[in-house]
Amino acid sequence: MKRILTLALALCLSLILVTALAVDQHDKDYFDTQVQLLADNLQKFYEENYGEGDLVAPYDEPVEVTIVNYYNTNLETNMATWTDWWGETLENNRYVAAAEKALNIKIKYLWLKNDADKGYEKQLRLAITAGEIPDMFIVTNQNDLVQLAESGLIMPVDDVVDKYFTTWDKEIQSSDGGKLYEMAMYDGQCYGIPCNISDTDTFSYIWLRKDWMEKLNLEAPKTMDDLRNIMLAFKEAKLGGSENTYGMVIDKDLYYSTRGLFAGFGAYPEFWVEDENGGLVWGGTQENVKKALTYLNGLYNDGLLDKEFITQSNTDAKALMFNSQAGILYAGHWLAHDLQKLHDNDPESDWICVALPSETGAPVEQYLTPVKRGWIVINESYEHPEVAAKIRALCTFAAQGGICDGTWWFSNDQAQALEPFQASVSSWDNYNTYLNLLECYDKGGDTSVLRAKAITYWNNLTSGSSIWAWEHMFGNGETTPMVVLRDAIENERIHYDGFLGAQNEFMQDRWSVIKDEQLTAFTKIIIGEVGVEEGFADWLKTFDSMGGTQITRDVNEWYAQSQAMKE
Amino acid sequence: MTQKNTATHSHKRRRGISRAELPLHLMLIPGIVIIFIFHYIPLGGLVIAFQRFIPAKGLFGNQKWVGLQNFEYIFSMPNTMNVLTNTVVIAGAKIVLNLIIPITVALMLNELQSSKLKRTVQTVIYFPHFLSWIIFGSIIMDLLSPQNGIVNKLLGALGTDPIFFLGDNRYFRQTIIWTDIWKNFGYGTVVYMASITSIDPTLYEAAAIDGANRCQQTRHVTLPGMRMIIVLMMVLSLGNVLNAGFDQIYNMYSPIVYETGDIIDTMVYRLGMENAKYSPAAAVGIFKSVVSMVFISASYYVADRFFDYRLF
Repeated sequence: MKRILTLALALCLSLILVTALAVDQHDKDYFDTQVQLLADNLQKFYEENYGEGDLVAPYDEPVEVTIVNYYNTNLETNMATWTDWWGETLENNRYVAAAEKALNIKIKYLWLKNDADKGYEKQLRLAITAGEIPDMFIVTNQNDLVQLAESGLIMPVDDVVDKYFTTWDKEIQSSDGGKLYEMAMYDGQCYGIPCNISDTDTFSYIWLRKDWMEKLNLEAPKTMDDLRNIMLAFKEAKLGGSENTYGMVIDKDLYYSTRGLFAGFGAYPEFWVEDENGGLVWGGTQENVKKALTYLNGLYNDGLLDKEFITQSNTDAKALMFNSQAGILYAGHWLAHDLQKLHDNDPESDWICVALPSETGAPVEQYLTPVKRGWIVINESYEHPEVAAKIRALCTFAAQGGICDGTWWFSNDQAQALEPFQASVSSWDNYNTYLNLLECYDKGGDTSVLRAKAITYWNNLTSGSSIWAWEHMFGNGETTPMVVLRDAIENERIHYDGFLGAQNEFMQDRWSVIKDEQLTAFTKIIIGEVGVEEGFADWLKTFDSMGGTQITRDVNEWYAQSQAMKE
Repeated sequence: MTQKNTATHSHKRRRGISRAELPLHLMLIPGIVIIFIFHYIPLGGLVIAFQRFIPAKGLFGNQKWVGLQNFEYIFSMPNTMNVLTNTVVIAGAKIVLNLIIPITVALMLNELQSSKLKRTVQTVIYFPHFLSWIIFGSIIMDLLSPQNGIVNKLLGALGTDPIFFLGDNRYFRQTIIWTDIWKNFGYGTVVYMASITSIDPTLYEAAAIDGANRCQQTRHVTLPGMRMIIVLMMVLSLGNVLNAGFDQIYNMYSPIVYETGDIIDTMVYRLGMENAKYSPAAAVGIFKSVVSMVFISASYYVADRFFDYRLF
């Protein structure tokens, strides 16, 4: 198979050369050529690699399908340019053209909505309430999906997936171990086809100010005590320039800026975790949380946390980093983009990302939530459910098949968001992209091994104004977040949130309030408004009195059923 | 006979529409249609306050009727009493202060000799009214920051410990109320200034001839002249007794000050964030409308009774 791929690639590359010579990129011809190229290669590709050419065979008679979709402001802006060049519009985009050319499917958008402020979700509910249900569409909210299934408006998709979806798409859809399928279950049947994206975005990394550590001759922290000593050393040396040096950045929503810190104590206040009896327990009520809160309270008392954090969003709180007043943050890998802004102003500043320190120095385990663009659902009365599979196969091929100018279909200024069902990539896409980039590094920068997103990332790593940031995320250095992630994945230290079921009525009524109470209780403990023991005991009482115990029972009932079904 | 004629005549005049008035009445039609379509028909949607509304079942589909359960749900939340208190206290203080302060400022501005200065001050205090709370809120957060805010720098210079206005339950409500006044008193001032200019100047001359000084003129000429507009503003604002200002509080509060700063609107917003809770939101909407109607009716009655103010 690899050989065939290489061959196909070589063929494509030569084709690109030919077309590049012949066609101006900003010309309608370029658009048409790309679409034609995709149409010509689609069936061939699936036949040669999987023997599944029939799954993407075009219809004899045109088949019409109505759908709806969402987009973001970025895409809208880019579209203005594309309209100029190719006459492309949101409703009549490259994927719509390709579906018609390659599959004889006429995609008709009933509406498209900017997803800012959950705009799509709201619009979709309105449309459903009014009874205007498209033939197939993306549902982004799990409760909505279950309610649609309950009302009999959408069809079960087990058979559709089995019979019509390509092996490649099935692989992508179950790359998270089937979590997203499980979330779309109602009454023993699956009603939504997952559109996965990278799950690792909730993975928390620790970033440390490298130049400060070198100045003070400090080692990377192994234990939480080490970490605290580094913070104290930074403060003592007044590296922030004045009295106002802080230990780390933390914000009022707490979890994003401390997720890795909690994990260092084996505490997971945002997830349902398995307890020693094999059941699920809410992480926010576990004893380990107390240790993390005691630690944070200690930092607060020593002036290592900015007292103002309780009113600051993460963006506001990060000002400490930008002003070089704090040299430690827990954050996502994309923090590097912010770090670069600091680096541009202060070229001396440099950062490393290392394995999370823990209470005992043992490696840290982390939890993830399955992330998705949504689920594809199919109108109960639509006659061609296989259209979903064909369109999906077309998009997957366009985006990741290495077809000619792959980036044009995929990552080029977020063109993937034009896909009728949004992009669908492996749940480990970021990680796979990193491996692909490493392969390229190993081969001395041989870009022919690059696929899909890696092509764009490689461009970012080697040209443009943010090389520094990209090297600190996806470069081949030893202190990047991806090294940490690789270590966690290879040693199986990543788990998934235990509860994936839809919330029942009781939980819907209570859960957001309980989470509010938890945040307030934790904040009060950290700033010392109440003692740790007393405050935590109070929180446990609140959890119980507001229905937390009842919810835990319901969640465990779901869990037992889900475990039984797996066996 | 003559008498009867007159009666029929006047009767006719009252009931019928004259040819000259007809176009004016026709011009009302679009407005009435719009109000009917956008304000009366949607009232039908209030039924969802008494249902457990699920969008997938359709607006008039087979929804589950739950009686007053949504109201019970809202009032069974552990913090509801607290939240109601916050709402009424903050809204009440805003209503009272938003009457007193603009009137006072308008009276004082009226005494200024230089009309240039008067206009400048008016513009400057009116300006914050045009900023959204997102912008004005972050300006305030900057000003009031315990470490770097100018307010606390000044307090520090006077030897006071820094005060965490937005992060301390002792100060949060005050801060919310006064910053709202700051943002909006300019608007009220402009309205009152306008009503002052419409007072007949001969009244002042007469008062001066009678020997009234400036204070007495203010008390006996200016204030009575403004009476109508003051009563109008009061009647209108009393409808807001449960509107403590979502935009403002949502942009300025944080979990630590929920105790003194969480209001009905922010609570419902958070409830609705995770799931589409249309029903409790509709229930709260009805509750607020009913309370507002009671307050507006009461204040209208009072205005009619004691100040002779009447709309209809």
